[in-house]
Amino acid sequence: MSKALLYDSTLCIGCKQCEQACATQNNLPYNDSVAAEEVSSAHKFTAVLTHGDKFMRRLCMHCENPACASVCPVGAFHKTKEGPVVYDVWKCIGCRYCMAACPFSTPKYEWGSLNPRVRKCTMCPDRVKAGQQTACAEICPTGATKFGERDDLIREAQDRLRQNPSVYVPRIYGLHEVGGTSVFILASVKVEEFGYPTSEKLGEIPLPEYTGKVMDRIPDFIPIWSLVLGGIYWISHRRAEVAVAEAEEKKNGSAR
Amino acid sequence: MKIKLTFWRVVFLVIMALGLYSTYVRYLRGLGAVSNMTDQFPWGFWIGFDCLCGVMLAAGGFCIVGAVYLFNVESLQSVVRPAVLTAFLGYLLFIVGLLFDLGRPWFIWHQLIYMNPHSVMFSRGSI
Repeated sequence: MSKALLYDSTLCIGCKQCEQACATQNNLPYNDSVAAEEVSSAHKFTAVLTHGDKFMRRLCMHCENPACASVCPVGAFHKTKEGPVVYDVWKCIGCRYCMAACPFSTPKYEWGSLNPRVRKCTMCPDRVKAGQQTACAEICPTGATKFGERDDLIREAQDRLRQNPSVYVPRIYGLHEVGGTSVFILASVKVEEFGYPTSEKLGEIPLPEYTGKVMDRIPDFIPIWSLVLGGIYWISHRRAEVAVAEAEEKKNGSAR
Repeated sequence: MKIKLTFWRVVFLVIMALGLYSTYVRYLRGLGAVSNMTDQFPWGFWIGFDCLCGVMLAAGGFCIVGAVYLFNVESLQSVVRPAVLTAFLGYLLFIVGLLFDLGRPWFIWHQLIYMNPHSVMFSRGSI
């Protein structure tokens, strides 16, 4: 069964303990100046954004069919069956295609490093595999970030929307976006105000399906075009051969 | 032999010196310092020029050569050699560009063993 995270921004108090727990879990530096940064980066996998009295978390959405995994020429990203989208640093060649492809601009790069890695939230895959919660969900004092089975969390999010329709924007962000993700966001204001792309822009079709339509046909194209072009080559050269032979025949014929 | 410093030679020398300095910075302080790329712009003019321009050049060259051979066009035989040379230089430019562009160019051979046929770039890189 696939795991997921449900972030309910109406419960969030902006304490940023998830940021700190994330930094500890991933051996990243964390201090007041890092806490003040309101963007995720190569040294900050999740960020709590503050707009007045509203809060919003940014983190990897862990798409069901992730664009980063689809575009990577060496397959350094993959979606695990438990839910997290993980990264294999050994395979990575540093081409940054994942960063260009991600609809949520999640992967970040170590621009100043001589051996740069792509960094992002990996949904604590070791903890999840061991049956534990992610570090951010475990530490959250109000339950704003909740870890659980994907199906259960969808049901719970729908219940919350039904019980308090006046509080929420009537949408579970991540349920259908780019074919569904493993992170769901409930909010009292539009998540777009915090830099998330609009649902309309994301669509409900997983991004890899667009390129897949083309890429899947390449194996058919190779034999067909080899045959067609090979045929053209044969005909055009045969024609030249025949022309030479005919000219010779004519010469011999007239000499006789 | 004495090399005369003409105007254009000086210009090219200046460009080469800038290139050497950029290479030095690239391999001493990383991609960010030399390319001005950020997490918001992971690809930019940098990719458009250093990589794709070489590929385009090569593709054009190989297409011409392919057409000449396939259709056996005698009158165009003379363009085959310069076209192949240009195409080869194009790919060379691309590969040299990759050594700068890839964050971990020493792993470029991963392309050959960790293939991901779903990637559009896979078809590019495997050539």
